[in-house]
Amino acid sequence: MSKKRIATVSLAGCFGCHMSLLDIDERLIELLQCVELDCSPLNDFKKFTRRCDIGLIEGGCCNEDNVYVLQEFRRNCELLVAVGQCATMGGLPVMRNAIMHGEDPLRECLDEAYMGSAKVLNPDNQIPNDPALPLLLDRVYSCAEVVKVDYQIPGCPPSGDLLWSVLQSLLKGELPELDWSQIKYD
Amino acid sequence: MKSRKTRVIEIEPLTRVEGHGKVTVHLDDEYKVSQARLHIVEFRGFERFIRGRLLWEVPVIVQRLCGICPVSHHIAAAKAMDMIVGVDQLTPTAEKIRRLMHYGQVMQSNVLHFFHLSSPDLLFGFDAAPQRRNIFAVIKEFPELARQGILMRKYGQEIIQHTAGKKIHGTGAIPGGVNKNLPLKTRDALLKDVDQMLSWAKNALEIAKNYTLEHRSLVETFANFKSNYLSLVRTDGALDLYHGDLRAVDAGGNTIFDQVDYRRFNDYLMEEVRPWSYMKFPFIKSLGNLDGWYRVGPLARMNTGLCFTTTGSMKTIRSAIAI
Repeated sequence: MSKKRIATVSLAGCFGCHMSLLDIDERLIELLQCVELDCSPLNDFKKFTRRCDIGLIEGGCCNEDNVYVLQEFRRNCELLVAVGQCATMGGLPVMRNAIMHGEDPLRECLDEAYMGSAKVLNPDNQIPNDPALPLLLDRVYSCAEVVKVDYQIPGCPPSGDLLWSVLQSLLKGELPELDWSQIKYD
Repeated sequence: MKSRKTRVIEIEPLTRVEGHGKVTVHLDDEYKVSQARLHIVEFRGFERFIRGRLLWEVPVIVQRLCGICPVSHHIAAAKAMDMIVGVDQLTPTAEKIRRLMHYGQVMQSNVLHFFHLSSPDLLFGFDAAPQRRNIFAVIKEFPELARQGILMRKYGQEIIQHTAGKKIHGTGAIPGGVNKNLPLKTRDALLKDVDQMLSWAKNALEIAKNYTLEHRSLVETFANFKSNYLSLVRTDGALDLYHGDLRAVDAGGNTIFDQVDYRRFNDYLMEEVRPWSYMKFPFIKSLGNLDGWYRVGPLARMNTGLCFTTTGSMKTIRSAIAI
């Protein structure tokens, strides 16, 4: 059997889901026998080298680059999997979609971080705006709000054991139904 | 006529690092490097998120800054919440559990950096083909070494799981203490593997030492630059991975400030906003924003610590300094 090709990416996430994937520990060695890794933060491939069987997405979309990369993954992957709370529902960053009594929550977040405080040196009172930085979206989106997603794994992060069991099924071409005990929205 | 336009080389995304970044190298008319910039391209807004939240939520919210070092953020927030609930002294058990949690964190994160992310550069060289520069090639070509790295990271993660409740984004530290103890059975199970971990760690240190000796001219010039250093140290100046006061030294090892209560960090440190990164640029106030930048982390801790108190560590450090 030829090896399946997997690509992974972290969009607006914290790398926790990638770390959870590494938490399969010794099983990484086993994984390597049936899988080849295409572009991923864990290696030095910056772009897709060819079409992939599975794309694992960590994180939702909070800036324009996240959207481009997600669309790129959709184009290049047979099966697109949203891994973890941020990818499936936006996760913790969606706290900036609604702040109580706030008219413009994103503006409030930027102001709090960069403006008007004795702890911050910002003589021009500017929020980072260089063309090298991706533009922020009006709000944070889950992956399924941006592209078609084939499978979702909840959890913050989903445990290494869960990722392992799901991956084994996906590699066989099955979309496993998760038992209620495996579905954790923490 | 020659174009006045600067040329910019982009390296994006950065891989095998902890975080979202890209590098741009700006060239002048003669194609010489005029600026090299590391852009942190992620902005989320935690500073605002935690305002108005219940105080027990803060340690579980802010740890989501980073899934690689969540425990450090978790504990920093718990310490801040300790002050709010008026706890200036943890119970001895609570302090030990939190300490152990953070030791697990430091172990898994350093192992991740050394084995999973950096070891391909040490084993295959910077110029190796991109296909080889990853942990999976290390598994293929140095299976035993890769296995050691994987099991050492696992050990650190298991310590975190037993003290925080989960390997990533646990809930162990709460305002005023911790919410679980370490059963003796678990403690003994962890102790059983300590000697093995220590011997593998020494083995890894040997790899780094030999690499340094064999590539002396590269190590002396590549990414070698002078800077200030900052870390927490104990009252007696010893290295500490959980608690202490702030100590900053300059490139020559001279003290900039010492034994500063960390709760007064705002009096000594400040952050600058620059337009090309969402990350702010911290600096030591007394040195100003241009000269006051400093390094933190393992190297800084080696340079700020006056002594090291674990078995054999003083000898190890001396031999590293000798090299």
